[in-house]
Amino acid sequence: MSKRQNPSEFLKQIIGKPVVVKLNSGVDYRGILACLDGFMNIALEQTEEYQDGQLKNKYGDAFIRGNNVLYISIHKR
Amino acid sequence: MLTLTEVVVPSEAVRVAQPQVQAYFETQLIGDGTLIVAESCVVWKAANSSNGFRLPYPSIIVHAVSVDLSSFPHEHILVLIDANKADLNVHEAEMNGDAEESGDDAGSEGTSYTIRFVPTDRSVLNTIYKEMSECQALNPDEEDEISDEEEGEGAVIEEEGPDMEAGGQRWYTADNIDEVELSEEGQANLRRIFGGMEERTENGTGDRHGDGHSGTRDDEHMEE
Repeated sequence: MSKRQNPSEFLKQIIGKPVVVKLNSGVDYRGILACLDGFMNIALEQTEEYQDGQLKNKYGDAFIRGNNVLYISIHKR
Repeated sequence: MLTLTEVVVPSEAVRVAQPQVQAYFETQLIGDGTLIVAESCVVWKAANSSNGFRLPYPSIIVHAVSVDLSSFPHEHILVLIDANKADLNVHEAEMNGDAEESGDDAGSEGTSYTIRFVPTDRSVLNTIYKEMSECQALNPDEEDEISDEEEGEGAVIEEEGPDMEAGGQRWYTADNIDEVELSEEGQANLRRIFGGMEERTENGTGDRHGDGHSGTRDDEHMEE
């Protein structure tokens, strides 16, 4: 992987945006990336939980422990 | 089915102690009790009993305020637990039944349990969520797992008092993301989380590279 700009340059492009957070378990959480902390713990707003592509649940706020995240990507609505 | 065991109720650094909270394991009602959110762990103790269960923060993959009454008939705090990191007394037979339902990913590696807390007083949901979020940041994963006698028995409560200045306490939003500082764990997570982004497509997006480092402040176009 190429080296990117520093974390703040990169993170500010996704914060406040709709994202898909995929957990190691395979579950997806889609929501607005509200904030994160120094451990890459992640807080989402207006969150939807998807399993196998199916909507399973909706949350107002959801907090995801950074260690469990496989990847985050931008979610174009 | 989750079997309750004797729990030590944290007495120090308690952020929330909420009585009249029903606990559900998956969709099965365990009972009514008290939910304690302490800086060291989350404990639920059944009413009129010393039995309950204890959830160390590293075992909590996700916690959330669930508001979707079509998926569960009460607003609640949902917690998703990593079975390998929590010491829960679960009867496997029933779990297997549940797990197979979800199909392809058999194998016990990523086993997780869903626990729901339904407080009679719904107004505390956001407080519980917020306090748990803060406590999560106080409990990063240990580099080497501390053995059970050190960590597991609730003895740790005595020494509590994690320094409030400890790293990870600060939250970054769009307003202060310029000042973001990641711990070593955070940097490792960042590399892992975003390392493979180029290879993915999520609804046709997820591809950000190329000459993306023009570095302009209003570079909003990572989707394209």
